[in-house]
Amino acid sequence: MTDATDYLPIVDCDVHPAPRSAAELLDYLPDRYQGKVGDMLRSWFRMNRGTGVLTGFGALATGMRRDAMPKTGPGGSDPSLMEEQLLVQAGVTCAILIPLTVTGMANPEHEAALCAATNAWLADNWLGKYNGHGRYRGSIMVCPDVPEAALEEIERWSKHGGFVQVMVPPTVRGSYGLPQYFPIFEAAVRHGLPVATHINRTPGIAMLSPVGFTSYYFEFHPQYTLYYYPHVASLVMSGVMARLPDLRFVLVEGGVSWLAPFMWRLDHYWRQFGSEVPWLDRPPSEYVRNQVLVTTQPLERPNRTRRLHEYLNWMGSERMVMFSTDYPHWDYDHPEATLRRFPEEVRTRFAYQNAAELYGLAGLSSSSARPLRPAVAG
Amino acid sequence: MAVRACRIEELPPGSRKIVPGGRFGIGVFNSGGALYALANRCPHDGAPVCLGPITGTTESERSYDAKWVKDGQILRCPWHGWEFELATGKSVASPPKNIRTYPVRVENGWVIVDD
Repeated sequence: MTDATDYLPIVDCDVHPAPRSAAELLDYLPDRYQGKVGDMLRSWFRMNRGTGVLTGFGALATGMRRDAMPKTGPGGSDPSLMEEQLLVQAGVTCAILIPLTVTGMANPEHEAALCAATNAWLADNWLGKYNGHGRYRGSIMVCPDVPEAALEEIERWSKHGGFVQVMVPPTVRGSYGLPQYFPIFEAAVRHGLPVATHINRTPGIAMLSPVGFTSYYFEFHPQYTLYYYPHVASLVMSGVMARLPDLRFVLVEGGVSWLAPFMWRLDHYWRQFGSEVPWLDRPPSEYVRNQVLVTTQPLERPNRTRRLHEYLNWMGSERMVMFSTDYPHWDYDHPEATLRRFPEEVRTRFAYQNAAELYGLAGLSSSSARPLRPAVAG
Repeated sequence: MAVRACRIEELPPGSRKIVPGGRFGIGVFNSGGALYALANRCPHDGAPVCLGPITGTTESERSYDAKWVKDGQILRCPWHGWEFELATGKSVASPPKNIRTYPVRVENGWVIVDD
């Protein structure tokens, strides 16, 4: 970056802050969850070495960039290191924070408790103490299988100003078009918030494909989108997208090109099966194009980058794609290595404009290097 | 141009030093007594590759039969884990993407890299 006019703002739509310890997170467990649930969570976290993440096989350096490990605490727990590596070295202007403290627990009540603790912890730390620069925004974690708790979290944090989306796990007890999940999408839309989903199972026994468990981390990693296809199809076919035209659904960490052939299939069979879903008043791909967004990491790397551009063109993806790094994970997409792979005519859209419009981020422009206004007044 | 990296006593076997030199800095390694110097930039995405672990790699003739080989001879990139032979800078995977290497020698007790 040589001068202000060369400056390309970057909104990073997938960054993972972490608590320094289980104790730091569980300090934020609301009173109503203390006692038995709190005790169970504390012992569960102890069994799983601190942050409650069940590590399985093979992820490099327990899933982190080796140079992103602070002296103490897990990767992503040191605000100075994140500022240095993400905001300075990588040149990210604004980061959307997605904590991965809630990792697909067996018990929905426990998962809901962890969501509540995480949201309070995020508000206090990364959207509070560590957000003097105003460049971080957060996600309201909810457990959709405890609907009352999920709605309560949305109500509690939607007015905070620092939370810009609702985050739901892809691993729930049904696909998201089912009636039991509708109130959550409706509440998010009512509060002007997109709904995002992000893989939250670490590899190993927790990764269940339609035909069973994967044997290797390398086998698991390219298949994240197995969890996203069903929710996209369900939200379209059940008419949730049609009923909530302002709903935006963000698929994080699935890459981009997989949606293109899926959209062809959806449209192709709509002509045969359309009478099964008469509440769709337009081809399914249009709901996807208008209401689904994807974050770029891990960006597909065909031998010829032009082939990726062809997929993006076929999707009509100009408004669908948002850049992400996945900092501090090992499969981090460095902005310098990644942004140049996008077609030039959509590069600013992907780098920041789509995210700025989706998340209501003001003050970003290619002619200014001003920091953003603070997330919360005063 | 010769870069004076450090005194040889400061680089015992199993250690490394990152020194200024070339375009991206140079990592100087002592692996089992042999000295190597590699550019501190991964050919994949530009990571500071010389910060990664020194390890080995695997070889196999058939499924479920992997042998651990070349222990202490492989540099793994700290970001995405690409593996490179310390001695040659060549990537383990093909098609090869290699790290630039530099000649390194000891002269009057100094480790010298010719960049």
